[in-house]
Amino acid sequence: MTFFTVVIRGLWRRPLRTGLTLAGISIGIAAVVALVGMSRGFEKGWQVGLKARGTDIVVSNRGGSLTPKPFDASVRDRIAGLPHIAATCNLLVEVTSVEESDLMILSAREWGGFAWNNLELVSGRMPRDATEEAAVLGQTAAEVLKKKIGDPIQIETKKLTVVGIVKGGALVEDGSVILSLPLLQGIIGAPNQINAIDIGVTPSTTEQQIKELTRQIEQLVPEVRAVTVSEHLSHNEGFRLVKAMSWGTSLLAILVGVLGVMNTMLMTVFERTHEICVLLAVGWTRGRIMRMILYESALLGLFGGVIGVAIGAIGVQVLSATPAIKGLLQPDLSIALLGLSVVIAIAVGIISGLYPAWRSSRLNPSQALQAG
Amino acid sequence: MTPPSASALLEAKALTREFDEGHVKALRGVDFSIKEGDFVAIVGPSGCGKSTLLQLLGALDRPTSGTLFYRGISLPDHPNPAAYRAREVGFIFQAFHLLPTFTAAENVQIPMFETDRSASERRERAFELLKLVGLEHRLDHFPSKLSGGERQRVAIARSLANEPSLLLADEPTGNLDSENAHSVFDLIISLQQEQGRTMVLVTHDPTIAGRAGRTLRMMDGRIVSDDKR
Amino acid sequence: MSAAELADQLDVVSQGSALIRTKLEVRSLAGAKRVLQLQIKQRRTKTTSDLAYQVLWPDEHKGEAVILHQAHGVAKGSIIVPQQPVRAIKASQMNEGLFDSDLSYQDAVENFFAWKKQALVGSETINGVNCQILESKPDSSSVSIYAKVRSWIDPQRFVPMRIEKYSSSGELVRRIDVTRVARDEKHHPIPASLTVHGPRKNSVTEFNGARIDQDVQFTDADFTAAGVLK
Repeated sequence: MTFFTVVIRGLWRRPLRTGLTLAGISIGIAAVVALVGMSRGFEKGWQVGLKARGTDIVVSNRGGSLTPKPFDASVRDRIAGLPHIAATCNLLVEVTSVEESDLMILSAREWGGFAWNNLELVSGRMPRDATEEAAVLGQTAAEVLKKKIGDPIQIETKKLTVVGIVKGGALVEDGSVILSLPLLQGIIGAPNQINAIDIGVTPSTTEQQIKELTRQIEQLVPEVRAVTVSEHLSHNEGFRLVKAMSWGTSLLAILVGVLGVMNTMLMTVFERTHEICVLLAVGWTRGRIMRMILYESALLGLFGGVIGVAIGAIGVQVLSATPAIKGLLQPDLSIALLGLSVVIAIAVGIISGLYPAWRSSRLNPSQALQAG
Repeated sequence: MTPPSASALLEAKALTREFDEGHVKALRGVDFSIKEGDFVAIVGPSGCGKSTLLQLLGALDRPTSGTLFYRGISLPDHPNPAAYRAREVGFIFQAFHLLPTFTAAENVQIPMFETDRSASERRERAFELLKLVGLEHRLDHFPSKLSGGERQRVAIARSLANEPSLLLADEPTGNLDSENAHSVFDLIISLQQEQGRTMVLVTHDPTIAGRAGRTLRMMDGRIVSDDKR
Repeated sequence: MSAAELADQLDVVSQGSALIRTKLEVRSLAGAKRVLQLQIKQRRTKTTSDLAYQVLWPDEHKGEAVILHQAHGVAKGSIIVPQQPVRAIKASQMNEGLFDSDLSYQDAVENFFAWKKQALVGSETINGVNCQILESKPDSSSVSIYAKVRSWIDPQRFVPMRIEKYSSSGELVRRIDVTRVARDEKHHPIPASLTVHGPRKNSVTEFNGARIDQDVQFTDADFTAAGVLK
C-alpha cells in the first residue's frame, strides 16, 4: 500500500458523492474547453487566414456592413510606392446567396496576386487564366454546396465550373468560393471595383514600421482604413465580446467547480474526523494529513479535468458539425488548451482543498478518541 | 524545573489537566515515575482521570501544569510530538479505532508511513505482525468482516508497527466478551514480557490489574496508591 | 404626416429601376423545400410598373421567366418557359403564385401606395419598431383582387415591416413580413428579406435578397418575351 492508495481510498469511500463532484468539475472544465476552444478557433481562423496569405496589412473602405464597400482599384497604385511594401493583392470579397446556401463568401483575387499562393489543391486544378469561367472551392464550401470537380456552380447570373477543391489553411478560405478578380468584376458588372487590398511587407520590417505604414496609407488615401493583421481582430467589437464572454462563463464554471469540491472535501473532513484523529494518534504528522486531503481534492480536480476535457472536446466536435455552425467555426483544441484545462482543474482541486485540509489538521485527537 | 532522574522512562511531577477553563479538573497533581520494562496498570472508577493521564503519556494532549518527561525530554515541549507518537508509542484503544476503508494488513501499515520503510517492507512487516497476533489468514479482510477479538488483534499489531518502546492500552478488553478478552489479554502480556516493552494499561478489571507488576490506583484526579509486586 | 403624405413618400421611394438578385425558397409544412435563384429587373414610375423575373438556377428551370406590367392600375403579364409558346396571364389568374410560391403575380406588380384611398388606422410595435398602420383601398381607377391592404410602416425609415391583404369578404388572404432591412448603395433602407404566408395553408415562401444594383438603364425590350429569352 502506498500513500496514493490511501488517497484513492479516501475518494472511494463515497463513490456517489465523488462521482457527482467529478461530474460538477468536468462540466465546468468542459465549458472552459468548449467556449475557449471555440473563441480561440475563431481568432486563429482569421489570423491564420491572413498570415498564411502573407498579409500584414489589410486596406479596406471605412464603413460597410457585412463586407466592406467597394472602391476603385486605382487606390492600389496610389499606395504601392510606399516604403516596406513587398507585394499587394487586390480583392473583391462578397457575401451572397449561392444556389441553396444563404451566405457564401465569394473571394475574388487579383490574377497572379500572392493571395493565390497559399491555396493548396486537394483535387482538381487551379483556373487556367484570369478569364476562364471557373472557380475553386474551399473544402467546407464544397461540402456545404454539395459540389465536386466538374460540377456547374451558379454565381449571380453566371454559371461557372468547379475546377478544383482547395485547402486554404484557414477557415475563412475553406468556406469560400475563390475565383479570379476580373471574372467576378465582370459578373457583377463592377469593373475595376475592389473592396480590399492585402499588403505584404518586406521581411525585415518591424512592427513599428508596419504601424507607421498604415498611418501613411490612411494619410494618402483618406477614404480607406489600413489595419495590421493583429489589430484586425482585436479591434473587432464582436470578437472581443465573444472572447470576454467565453472567459467570463468559464470563470463562473470554475468558481462553481471550486465550491463543489470544497463542499465535498469539507464534508469528507467532517465525516472522517474520527479517522483523522486515529491517524494523528498513530503518529501521522499534521502535514501528512493535510497532504492527504489536498491530494484527494487535487485528484478530484485531475480526474474531473481529464473527463471534462474529453467531454468538452467531443462536445465541441459535435457542436461544430451541426449545420448551423459547420464551416463557420473550427474549434482550436490545441494540446496547450487541453493541458491548461487539466491544470486549471487540478488548481481548482488544490485551492478548494486548502481550507478543508487546514481544518483537518487542526483537529484535536484526544477528544475524539476518548474510550467508548 | 526539577531535572528528570536518568533511569526513568517516564517521569511526572505535579501533573494537572483541567478542562472548560478549570471547571473540570481531570488531574489534580499527579507524580510518578515509570522505568523501562515496567508493566503498570492504572485502575480506578470512571472519571478518575486515568484515560486523561494515558493521553498525556501518548502526547495526544498537553497538561495544564506540571512536568512530564520521556527519556529526559519534556513531552509538552516535544519538538515533534507526531514523531514521538509514531516511533516511541503504540496505542491500543478500547474501541479498536481501525480505519474501515482499509484491510487488516493496510491498517497495520498506516503508522509505517512515518518511517523510511519501502512499500514492500511495509507489507512484509504487516504480514509478520499479523502472523504474530495469529491473523495471517485475515490479511485482506476489512474490519467490518472481523470479529471483535480479531479487530483488537489487528489494533495490537498496528500498535507494534514501528517497534515502540512504550505501549499504552486504554481498556483494551473492555469491548470484548470474556473469552476474547482473555486471549487478547494473554497476547498483550506475552508481548510485554517476551519483548520487554514498557506497558501502561488502563483498566477497571481487577483480575487484569492483578497480573501487572505495578498498580497505580487513581481516585478523583489523584494517585491514591502505588502497589508494586 | 398624413396618410396620403406617408403613402406618397413610400410610393416615391419605390420608384426607379433596379436589378435585383434574390433567393426564393418555398417550404412546405411537410418539410419539402424548393429553392430558386432569381434575377429581377424592375422599373417603376408613378403610374407604371414593369417587372421581369428570371430563374437563374437550378438548371431544370433556368430561363423560365415571368413578365408583369401595370399601368394606371391595370395589371397584365405573361409566363415564359423555354421551348414553349409564351402564355398570357389572364386577369383571373393574377391571384396565382409567382413560380408557384405564396406570392401572387398581383402582389408582385401592384402598387397600393399609389391608390387614392389611404388612411391611418393606428400604430403597433413590430419587432421593436414602432409602426404606423396604413390602410389602403383600391378606387375605381385601380383593379385589384384585394379589397383592402394594411401595411405597418416604419415612419423613420419608410419601410413596411408587415403587409396584410384582405379580400372583399374581409378575410386575410396574404401576410408579408419583412424579416431583414438592408441599406442600398445610397444608404437608403430597403426590405431585403420577406416571408410570405398566402391562402395555401401548407406552405410559406421566403425571399432573401442577395444583391441590388440601382439606376440601371433598361429598355422596353428588357420587359418583353423576346428580350427575356435573348
